Amino acid sequence: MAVEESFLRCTACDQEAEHVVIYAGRFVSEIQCTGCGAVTKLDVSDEYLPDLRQRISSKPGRLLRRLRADPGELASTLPVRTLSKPARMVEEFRTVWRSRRSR
Amino acid sequence: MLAGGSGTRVGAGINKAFLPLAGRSIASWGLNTLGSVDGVGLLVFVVRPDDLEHARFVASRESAHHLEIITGGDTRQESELLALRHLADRIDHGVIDTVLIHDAARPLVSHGLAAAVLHAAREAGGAVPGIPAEGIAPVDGPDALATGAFSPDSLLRVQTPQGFDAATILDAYEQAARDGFVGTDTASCAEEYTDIPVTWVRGEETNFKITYAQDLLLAQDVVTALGLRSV
Repeated sequence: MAVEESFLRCTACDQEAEHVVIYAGRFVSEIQCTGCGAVTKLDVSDEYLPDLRQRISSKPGRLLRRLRADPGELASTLPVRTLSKPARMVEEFRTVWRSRRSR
Repeated sequence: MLAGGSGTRVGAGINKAFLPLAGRSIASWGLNTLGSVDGVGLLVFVVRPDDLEHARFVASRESAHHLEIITGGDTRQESELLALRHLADRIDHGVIDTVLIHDAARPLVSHGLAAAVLHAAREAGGAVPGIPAEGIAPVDGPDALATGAFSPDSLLRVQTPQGFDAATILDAYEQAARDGFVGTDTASCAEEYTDIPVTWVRGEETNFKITYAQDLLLAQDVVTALGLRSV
């Protein structure tokens, strides 16, 4: 799960306000307007697994491109990212599950 | 590619141009599309100083094309001027004949539209994509619709990328800066300071600007529906 914040216009209150955008993998699963509190949730469970398969299958290619582009950057970030990956995946599954239960 | 003022306010998180859309930043979608168009030789990415780190990440990890990153100004017009000045030597030497100026917050511009704008700009001197503004009506006061002399056929919803003869638009922006003129987009400055005919190219409904939070969801749906998801 990744959380980003950015200024967007709110569909509910029609004001420019900071919005919290929650991602499950590559999908937006929730957007909350910090101005009026309006929340939009999306069930991403149907799309998530096929996309996860695609992410896994394309991972070697993406790592290879990074290795060719900047081996130092890859070497410095890969160990930490690898160690933290299980916890990040668990959080990602939880986010997808929460979006599913909100049906 | 302008990402100068997209979704940034004091205390805000990241510029919306750098929000992820289907696995990579909103800005990278347009950059990769424009970079793949025949005739596009280089990409200048105009960002706020605070966004330089994000821009470098896009350049190194999300763009298939080399990006020249510069910092923009306080207004769109100033950012465009700085981008044109960045290219000024190459424009003066004839290396660059045409420029396309695009909003980073329009990630789903198609290869075909960008190519059409470039072609039309080279033919006519200036080209702007637009969609006939059907289904709109002017208001006459707070509660009433205006009636009478109004032709919806004469209105367009203007999009980007907007393309112009490079030397002409550079001169126009320098003159506008001297006069303190601030336009709404590239076409307004061209209209005010040049005689080049600006033709319009049929825009695309999917080439919308990420403005509302729901636009992000719509863009995600379009990416999924069109099978554009990044690998």
